[in-house]
Amino acid sequence: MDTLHNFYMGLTVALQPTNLFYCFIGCLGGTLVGVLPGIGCTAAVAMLLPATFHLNPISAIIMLSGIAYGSAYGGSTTAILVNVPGETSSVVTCMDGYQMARKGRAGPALGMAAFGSFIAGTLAVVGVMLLSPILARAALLFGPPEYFALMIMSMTIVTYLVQGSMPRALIMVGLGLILGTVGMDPMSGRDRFVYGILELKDGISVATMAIGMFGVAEILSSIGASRNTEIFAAKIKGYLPNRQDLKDCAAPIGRATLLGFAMGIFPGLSPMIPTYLSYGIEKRLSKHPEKFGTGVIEGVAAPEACNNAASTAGFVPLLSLGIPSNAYNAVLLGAFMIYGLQPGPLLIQSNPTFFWGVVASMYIGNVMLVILNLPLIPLWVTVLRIPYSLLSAMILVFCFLGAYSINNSMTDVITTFIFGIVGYLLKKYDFERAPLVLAFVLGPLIENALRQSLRGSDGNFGIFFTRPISASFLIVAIGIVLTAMIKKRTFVDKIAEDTN
Amino acid sequence: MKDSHRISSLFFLVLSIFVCQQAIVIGVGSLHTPGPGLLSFSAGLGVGCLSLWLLLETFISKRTHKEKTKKETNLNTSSFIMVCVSLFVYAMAVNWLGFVLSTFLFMIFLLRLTESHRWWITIIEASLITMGNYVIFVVWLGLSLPKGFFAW
Repeated sequence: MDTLHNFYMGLTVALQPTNLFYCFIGCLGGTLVGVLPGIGCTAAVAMLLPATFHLNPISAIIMLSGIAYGSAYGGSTTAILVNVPGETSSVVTCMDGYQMARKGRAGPALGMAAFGSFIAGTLAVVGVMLLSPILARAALLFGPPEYFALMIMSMTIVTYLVQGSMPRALIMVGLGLILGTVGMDPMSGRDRFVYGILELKDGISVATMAIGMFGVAEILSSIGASRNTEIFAAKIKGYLPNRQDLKDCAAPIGRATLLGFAMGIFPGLSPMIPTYLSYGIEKRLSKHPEKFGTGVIEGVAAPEACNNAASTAGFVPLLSLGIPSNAYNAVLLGAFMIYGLQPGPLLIQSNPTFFWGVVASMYIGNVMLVILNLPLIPLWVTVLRIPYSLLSAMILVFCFLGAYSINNSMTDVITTFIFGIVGYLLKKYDFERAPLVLAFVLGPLIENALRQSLRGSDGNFGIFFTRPISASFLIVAIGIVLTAMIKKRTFVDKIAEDTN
Repeated sequence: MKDSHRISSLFFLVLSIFVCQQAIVIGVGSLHTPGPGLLSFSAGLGVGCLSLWLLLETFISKRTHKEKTKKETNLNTSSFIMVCVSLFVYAMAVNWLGFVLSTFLFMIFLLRLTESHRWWITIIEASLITMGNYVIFVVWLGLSLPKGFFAW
């Protein structure tokens, strides 16, 4: 009853005209970001973050959250119509979605992607409502050792679940931790890696890093490339799936929602992993697995439902523990701190209006998206026809403006461009950037927890293993590292191979 | 492929040595009283060990790593370097020329490099992008941008 009462309170906040407007802007912007290949929701949120400084925190977070689930919807549009995933979580949707479009069934594919996403998103919001307060209450028992161990476990999960080499991902984690120490140490007041540069005293901004690494770097990677794309817009006949489609997709959507939610709440997990798993499960459970990849509607419904559930579930650790589950949530965590909100288990207690307002807005955002997404497809098709050279030039200017608007400082812009080149080089040399950003955001929290734990235990490192919760997290982390050392193929590479 | 792995491993190894040395200067402290350099020293040490392992692996291992599909740009290396340099020139020119003029010139440069349209098309495209951004960020969102000498 308390939950329902609180949700009702949240609805009264989310339904205020101002918040409805910003929810709409976030969803629309997120869908646009999802439609456009080359820019992800992480860079988009980082670029828009400075523009939200003058808003009240609830409106700002509502808008920025809308970008996340909006981009999940938008990514499916390009995946189905153009065979290019707008977001990494839409990679799997390309497999059957595009084939359905080629057969003249683009409409039902788009419709089912939207309905599946809506159902999964709605159920995931219910999960967030129920689970976050419980987790927050449990986390009140956490002390610095538990937080340290949990964040270390998050880092190992992230590095285990990247494609490619785990040692390289761990190097990125180390680099992120090092970059997170740049600036003045809050405990001792000592400058670290500042070298007399005034602008570095406050540390590196997460927004400049995210815009550079995920915005500028992507553009530098693909600048000059032309995209010869055939858009199947002419053959879109109707968006409503038929009765057989609904019957075929009911169970896959249910399973995908549970899987996406269960995996999405784990810190460090990219939404791409559950979508691969979901597709693989549906393929194995299907009576006609050989048809997967030729244009079956379950191959669209399941991954789309899964990725929406996973991206919504990512808010659970963020809102209840203050731990981001992916790079996008890491930037959002930075936003919380900028707005003066202390993320963590006390957030729900100290700011119930904020928490329940954001949760209610997620549900409203899902409703907006399912209503808007399909009628706006002609608009997205028009956007897709814009030559990529123009789009990449525009995005570079957006990156400049996003970086400049943080502090009205050209130093931030130059830092962003430097990170853009660094991000490009990391991508070129097969280093994943997400572990770096995650470690960068978590680094100060990890350091704080580590130092407090060691001071409290008088330098005894055993404190992390004598406390049961902390010991459990660390044992899981050690197990993951050992598993990675024994297995030749990474978990993600195996899933990708099984799915193809 | 192995060469690029060696270069990257060597780079991170050198970086880790630098970070560890600097962390010691900052002050690692002790386990009883951890200093401000503890985390950066630990992270640097970890990066160093992993880089060394990867570097040695490139000499010892016969197994070739699966190469991810890379998106190659259509620009040659010199044009790509020009794009990177132009980003910094643009950032420095904004304060002097103002946002509108410097963005317009930057767009013309970038579009000429990546497209093969006629000049008048490029000028129209650059104008639309510049004015579009000006309307969204300055007029609508109220962002204050440098006006430069010409006070645009």
